[in-house]
Amino acid sequence: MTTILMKLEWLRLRRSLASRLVFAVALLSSLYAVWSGLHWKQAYLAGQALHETQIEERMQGWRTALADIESGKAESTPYDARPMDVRQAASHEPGELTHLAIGYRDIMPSRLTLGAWRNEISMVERYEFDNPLILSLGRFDFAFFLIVVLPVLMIALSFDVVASDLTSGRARLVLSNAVSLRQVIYARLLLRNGLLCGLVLLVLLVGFLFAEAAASEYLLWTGVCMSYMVFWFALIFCLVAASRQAEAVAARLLACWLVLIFAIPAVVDSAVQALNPPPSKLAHLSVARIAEAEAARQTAALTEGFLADHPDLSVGDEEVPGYYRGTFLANERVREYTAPTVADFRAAAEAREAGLSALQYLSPALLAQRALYRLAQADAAASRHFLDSAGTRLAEISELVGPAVISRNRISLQEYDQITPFDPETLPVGAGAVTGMAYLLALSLLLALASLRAGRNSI
Amino acid sequence: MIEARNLTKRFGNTTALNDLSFTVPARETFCFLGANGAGKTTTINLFLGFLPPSAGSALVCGKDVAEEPEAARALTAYIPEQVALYPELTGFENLKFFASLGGTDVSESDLISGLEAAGLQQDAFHQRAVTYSKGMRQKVGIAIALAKRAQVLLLDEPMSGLDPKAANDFCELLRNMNARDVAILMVTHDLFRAREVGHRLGILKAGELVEIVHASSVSASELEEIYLAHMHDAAGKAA
Amino acid sequence: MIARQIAGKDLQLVFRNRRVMAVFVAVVLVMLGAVLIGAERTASFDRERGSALAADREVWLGQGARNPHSAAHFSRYAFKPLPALASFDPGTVDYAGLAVWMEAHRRNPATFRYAESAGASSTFESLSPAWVLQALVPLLIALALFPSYAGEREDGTLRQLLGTGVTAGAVFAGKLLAALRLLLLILLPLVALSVLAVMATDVDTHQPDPLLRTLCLVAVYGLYLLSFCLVAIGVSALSPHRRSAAIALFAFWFVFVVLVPRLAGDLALARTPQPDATEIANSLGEIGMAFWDSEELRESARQRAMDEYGVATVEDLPIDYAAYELQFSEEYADPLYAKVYRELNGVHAAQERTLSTLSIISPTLAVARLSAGLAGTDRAHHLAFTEEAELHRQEIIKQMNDDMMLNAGDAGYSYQSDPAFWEEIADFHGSLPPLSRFAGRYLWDVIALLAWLGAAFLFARTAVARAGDMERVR
Repeated sequence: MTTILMKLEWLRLRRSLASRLVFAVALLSSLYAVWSGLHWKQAYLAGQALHETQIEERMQGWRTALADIESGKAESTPYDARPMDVRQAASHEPGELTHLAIGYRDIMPSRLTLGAWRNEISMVERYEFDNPLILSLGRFDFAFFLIVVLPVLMIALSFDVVASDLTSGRARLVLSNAVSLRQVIYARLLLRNGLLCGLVLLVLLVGFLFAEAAASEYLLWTGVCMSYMVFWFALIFCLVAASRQAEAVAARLLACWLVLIFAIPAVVDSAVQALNPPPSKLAHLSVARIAEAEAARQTAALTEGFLADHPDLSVGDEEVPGYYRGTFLANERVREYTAPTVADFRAAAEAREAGLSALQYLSPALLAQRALYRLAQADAAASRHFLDSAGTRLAEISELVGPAVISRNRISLQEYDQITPFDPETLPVGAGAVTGMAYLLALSLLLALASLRAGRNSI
Repeated sequence: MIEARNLTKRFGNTTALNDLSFTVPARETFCFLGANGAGKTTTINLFLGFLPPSAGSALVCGKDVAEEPEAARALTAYIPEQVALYPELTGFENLKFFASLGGTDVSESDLISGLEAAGLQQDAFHQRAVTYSKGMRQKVGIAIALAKRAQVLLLDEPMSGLDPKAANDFCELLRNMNARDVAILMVTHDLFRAREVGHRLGILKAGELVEIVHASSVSASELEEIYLAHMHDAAGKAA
Repeated sequence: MIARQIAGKDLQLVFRNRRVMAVFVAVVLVMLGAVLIGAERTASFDRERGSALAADREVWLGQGARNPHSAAHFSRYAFKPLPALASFDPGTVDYAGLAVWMEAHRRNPATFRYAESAGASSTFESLSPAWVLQALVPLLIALALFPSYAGEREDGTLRQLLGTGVTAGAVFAGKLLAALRLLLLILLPLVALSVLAVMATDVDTHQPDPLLRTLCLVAVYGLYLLSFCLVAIGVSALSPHRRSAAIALFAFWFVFVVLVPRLAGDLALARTPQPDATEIANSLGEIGMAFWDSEELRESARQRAMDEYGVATVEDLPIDYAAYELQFSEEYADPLYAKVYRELNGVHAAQERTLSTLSIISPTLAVARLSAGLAGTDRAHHLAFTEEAELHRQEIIKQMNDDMMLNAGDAGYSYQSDPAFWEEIADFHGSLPPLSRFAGRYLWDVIALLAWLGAAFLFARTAVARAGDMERVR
């Protein structure tokens, strides 16, 4: 019986201009979303490559100069191949699927220069050149299409699935056969939304073609998308089954859409921010500047102290500019002074994350978005992890070059060659995606059960 | 084949049907006559399983409609007063869909024959239903009922909107169906057609079956007198 | 007279519609939440700014004796003042930087974008009174007005009305009057809440023309929402029944309020790509080093100094030549920095021209730009801040270079300014420019909004006339 109902539905869909329009909108906008993401990623990678190449070329020159000095080919000068000039590029590599969910990647810093001239604030290369208005509008990526646009298209295809039959009296003719109203609703919804979601999943596969992710990533991503679609299918089924009037169904579904996609996330966002406000970045800046100013005043004392702590060091070339040491010590002092503030930032971010992790279950849209962003390595946590890893590497470089800087010596070529490329571990995806999927599917099941108990099965 | 046993339906404080009992065996057409609100359509809805009875039972071929609705409906064909079709499908496609819903394996040539038997003009078979007049939709409704080859036929004002020739042809169809052991329950306002096609005529008044008349034992004018007498009683009581 | 009666009846139906009233109450509550959040956020930003300014001043003054060029590298920060109207429409505040580092040899972009530390959901709009008016109220209007004609047609009362001899024009006037009254009733509490919130927002820096801006905002939103009323009436007039009117209006809202603005950003970027940050940073870095890497430029500086002071050699100069060179390099680089930022601004302006063009399709885009502009939170106002900060930077760096130039004597880079000198370096307070400075920028958006209103009126008028004809023919 379901097959017969679905065959009719297929015939009707093919002949309905409105339905064809919905499918066309779905196809075009999802394809555009994938294209837009790829375009963004291309520019992102090109910029990263430029940044890395510049630093690499510079360090090639530096290394050559050091090699020449060590081998005696060139004379030592106060400025050439100095340890203060050791630097390393740190780039926040996009995930394989970031083109599908750009998330925070377009506003967070992604290119750093790690070296003794820098501290945790100045290691970030100037990047705030974007048009803030364009940033505020957000990107039309696949995640946006899936979370915001697709439910509207599903509602557009589904709200009238039996209402016009009921009001026109056609339903009496259908239901005078051995078929229930629920069967009719189910078959029609399944075909319409199955085709729509199938189309979107095909586009998703196209998006996958441009990635080299692990199989688990593809599976998780597809799983999150499908469970989100299933949730909306279940919600639509529940509300369609409960009402005979198309406008009532449409109004309720659209109200759900507004509440779940806009209202609840906005309220959750505000609540989490209010409960765990991020520490002031300006206050962090102030602390850093206090440390810097203090270090500038106390350079001599700090230098003495450092040398006293490292009695094995002997002072090298006196001609090496004093501001090398001054800057190095200032940066060390900044790191020391800002450590509590950085810890506060981390704690507040973790508290916000915990708050969001708990409250995300109030909105499937928020849940799905967070899961997709995490899978795409595009969430705030991934950026924080990158910056934390970079900070650790910066500290390591400082520890390596520090004694040489303070004592106005050089590091050896051997020591330099031990510096490994910056390649932090990717933040683990965690169980969030799986938990999210399970929750969405469980919610869908509850909705389906609710519709079976409370929904109408007869006219 | 069609049986009501103390069938009662209440909507809140209103009793739409009160203790209705009747039987329609195979090869018989039973017509319900009555004013608006007498309970005729409620009776149809109960036999279709669209409403649960408040008391009593409605049976189709021995199957209690409330307990086994789908099994009962599998044995029932139905023609509503307003036959609503899918406007974007042709008459033929509508018939094919409803026939397949009915569970019968009907060939395309049988479907065409059904449309012809129902009186729909050939050039309309493959036109979209949105272009159909009421009468044309009614004919497709008849074809749908024929295609199901059910043992029981429920009709709700089936001849409303049909021209006299079409109504005449429809009555002939009903007789042919009776000849094929089909039991027919028809609700109508049309006393004259009811007498022409029905075997027994039940007069419903305020949810109660007040009289059953054998069609062959009364003339058309006598039937009208009996009917109006009951209706005047109702009006007098209401006054 | 007839129009007033029709309007009165229509409003009565709206008030009896529980769904509409429930949504209205919900919108008012959401607006209340938005104004509270907006006011607190703006006040909090401003407090933070005040604290940062005080801390910056304290650390600056506490430097002790220090070489002025070294201090120029340490330098000061310019913190962006926020207008009270930011609590109504935060515009680009979250995405534009809050502070500019005014260091020597560099012109830095504004840094510390609030959105980076917000860490929540970037897909979803942040709640603000402007967003409620731009996105939610049009939906409320659609909900209230979709049965305006379609409902009467479905119920048969439209035919009856026209059958009594009432003209289609009178019916339209009545429906329009009802819509205007409804709009007033919706806007009154929402605008009152917003105005109260803005007045209650405690900020240090004030706009010179808050009343003008507020009145313009009320006018802009009034025109915007009126055009939605007209579209709703027109769509209702053309729809055979309530259901199709409701769906058409929701589709309109979804496309023009949600989808087009989101796509517009992408399209603007596709048309005028954002230059790469590394390339821009490189250009700025090269400019900073240009003087020092060019023997020709350094020679011309020497020559200029010698000519200015009428001496034959640099050693004879009565000033510290190193500081002179520092200032020369700044004055050489400043116009070059300005060129880079002008070109960047040109790219952003081109992107915004694309948005302006698209605002012909989506009135929400036009209103969003106008609203942020009137609130003083758009990119134009941000640019005014960065330019003011740059002028201040040039001033204070010159002050420090002059101090070294005139007072260092033979000490050169060993010279240390007296701590009292730091007090002469003025804080950057920043001013909020008047609207008149930017009036021309918003002309296109105003034209787009008025064009929308005109088109919506024509659409409604034509649709209503057609509806009348259809009823008569039926």
